[in-house]
Amino acid sequence: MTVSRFTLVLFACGMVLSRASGQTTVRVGSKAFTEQYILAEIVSQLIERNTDLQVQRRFGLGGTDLCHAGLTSGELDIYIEYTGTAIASVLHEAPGADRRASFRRVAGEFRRRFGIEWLPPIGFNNTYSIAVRGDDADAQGLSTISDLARAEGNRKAGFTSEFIERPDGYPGLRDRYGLRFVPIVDLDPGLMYDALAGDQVDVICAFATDARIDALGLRVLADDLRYFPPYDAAILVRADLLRDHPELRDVLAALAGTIDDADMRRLNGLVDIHRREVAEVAIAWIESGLDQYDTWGAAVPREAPMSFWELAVRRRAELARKAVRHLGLTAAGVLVATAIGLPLGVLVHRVAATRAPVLALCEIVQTIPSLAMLAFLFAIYGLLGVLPASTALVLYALLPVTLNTLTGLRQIPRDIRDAATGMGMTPRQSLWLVELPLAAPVIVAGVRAATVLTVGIATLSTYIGAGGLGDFIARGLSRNDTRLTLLGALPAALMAVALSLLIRFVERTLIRS
Amino acid sequence: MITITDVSKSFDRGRTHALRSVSIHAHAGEVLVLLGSSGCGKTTLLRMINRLDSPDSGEVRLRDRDVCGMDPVALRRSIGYVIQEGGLFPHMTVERNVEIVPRLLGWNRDTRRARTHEILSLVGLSPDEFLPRRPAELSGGQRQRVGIARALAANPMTLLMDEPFGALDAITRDRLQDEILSIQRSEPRTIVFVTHDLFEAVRLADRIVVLHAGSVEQVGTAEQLLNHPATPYVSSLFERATQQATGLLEHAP
Ligand SMILES: Nc1ncnc2c1ncn2[C@@H]1O[C@H](COP(=O)(O)OP(=O)(O)O)[C@@H](O)[C@H]1O
Ligand SMILES: [Mg+2]
Repeated sequence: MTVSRFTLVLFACGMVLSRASGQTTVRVGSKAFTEQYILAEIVSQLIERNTDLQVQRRFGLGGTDLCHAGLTSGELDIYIEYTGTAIASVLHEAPGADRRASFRRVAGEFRRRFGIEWLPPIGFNNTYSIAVRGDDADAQGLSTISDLARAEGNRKAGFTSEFIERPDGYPGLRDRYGLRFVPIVDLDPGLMYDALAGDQVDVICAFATDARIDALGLRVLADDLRYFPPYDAAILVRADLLRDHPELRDVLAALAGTIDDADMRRLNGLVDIHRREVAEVAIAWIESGLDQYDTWGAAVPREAPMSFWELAVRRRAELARKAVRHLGLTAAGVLVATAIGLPLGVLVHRVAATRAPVLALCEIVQTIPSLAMLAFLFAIYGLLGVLPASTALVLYALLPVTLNTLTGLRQIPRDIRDAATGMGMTPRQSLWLVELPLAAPVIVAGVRAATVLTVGIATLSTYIGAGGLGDFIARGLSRNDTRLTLLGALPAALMAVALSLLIRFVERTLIRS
Repeated sequence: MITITDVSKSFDRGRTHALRSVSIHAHAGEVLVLLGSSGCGKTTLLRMINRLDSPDSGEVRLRDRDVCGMDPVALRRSIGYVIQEGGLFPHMTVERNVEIVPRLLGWNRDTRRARTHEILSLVGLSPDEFLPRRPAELSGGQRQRVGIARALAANPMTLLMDEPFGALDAITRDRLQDEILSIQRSEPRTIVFVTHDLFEAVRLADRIVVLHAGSVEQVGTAEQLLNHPATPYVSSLFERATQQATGLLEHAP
């Protein structure tokens, strides 16, 4: 018995090992902004073109924590990170001012502590910077952040939530320069440039490589006190993957030192401003390089920009795939939530003592912000993708189902329940023959509410790499491309309406029969 | 045969005394009416018999067995139970409502069908017309007939009726009282019938139990209560009824 179990364990280990060393698929991740999508696509294509490995793209993940946890758990193999970000958000150290020292620090620590390799930097330094409107800068004579600290008048700031929170972001900046903005609003990184240009805010934290700085006439203020640490971009690869596939190192090293700040702004501009497809830009960069920029870049007159409908038609296959995935996530979430919430509703109805704690728990779960929930579930599962995403959906859908089951059962008149008991039904018979059928309309209404809710929340599954229509929405937001955002949002809205009608229809036929 | 001995019951942790040391006895085949004004404890007493409520103290015996020692589910299936408005299950047809106890008892389909037809005819409803209907498609009187049919479907020896005709108009009530008496003549059962209406009590009862504030005031035939009231409450009950009746006569044209 013991021996055979031991053999079994050995065998299982062997399987795991052989699968690990025989890995043929490389999972490339990216965060949810344009430059990350472009670089991750370039990396993916380089691997596909130059090795036998297959690439699985897990782009648009919801933040540094998620990407880093992905690498350490083995759910991701490769993504692009920045030295300053890694020092502050992963190592939790105070960042230095020196670019080389910073790189050596993260490369050494990541190799030692996480088994992750930093390949040589790509070249550009996507540091944070502070930007104002060009006319504001001219009128007030602003050219440095110190000028801004001395300038007259109150300014409204729009920062990303990450910038507001991280110690090497606004808190340190405020202390170094003695800045004061009232109020400070949280803005999506994709929206803040337009918000500044459109006078919604007066100061933003711009990324040095964002193409919209030039395009919208914004002015970056010089960091005269050398506050912002370096953010050199580099490719991160899991060390065991590099060991098993040494050829990857050469393939990816081709990127080292090839894209400087201006290059990156141009590449970003092709996507963000000139509405080129990420894959198209990546192919052009690989095949022609930026030397040939003029022949394929922004300067070349292009066909008129596609309308939303043209885009929808062009990408209909992708749209269908994402819609199916979205539907699957929603169905899984709602079905499991119903399977749990219905018995839970019966329980809290029957056992009064459980009511307050169970409902309070469901309500607390409901108030957890979605991204926090995804990060939390990722920490529990150690997995990206469908499993944590659908778990989050189940948790959010639980309250409406449980609450409506309880409400439906409570509204049954007392004499009906007494009649059931008085006829000699057991509690179980009373539940199945009388109470659940009478509560059914209210329960189904709860499932319908949960479904509509879930279709909406499922758009956030993109941030944990689970796909769905949220992919379009996140990319649209990151590129400030309304058509792409709509391509995700409109079908999601239609899906919510259609599912609601479908459930209503099922409900009617149920009642009639 | 039902014997209730010294039963007390209080609610709200002793603040409401619904029953105070009540003892009554119903003979086999008798109609025993519990008469009293609203809140005097009639329903509570009735629910002790099929164990929808249990006494704080005292004993309830059915055919000489303590009900507290019996399986409550089997006990309830052996007792017919009718409440106001019939307490019908609104999502079931008349047929499903009437055959519910036979179903729970595991009767086969043919036996159930035969019995539902028979029992519906017995309460004066045409089976073909009414079996497929739902409670919402019935009048108040029809609903009450179905409620009685449902209670009688499995042929119980004992029938508990809690103000079954309270919500009906006088003419319908009159007709249903006749039905009860004729059913009782053809198939006698022990019936405990709750009402607050003296005329109904006099009409149906073999004996009447007058309840007041959770206590038994008097037990006896209508004649005994009228001619030999044991307490002022009982005599006031009949005096008021007499005044009402004579008042009506005086105002008649
Ligand atoms: N479940 C209960 N909880 C609290 N009080 C109750 C309950 N059932 C009955 N009572 C009280 O007990 C008393 C008798 O009620 P009940 O037997 O229903 O009276 P009746 O049927 O004669 O109108 C009333 O005061 C009523 O309020
Ligand atoms: Mg009552």
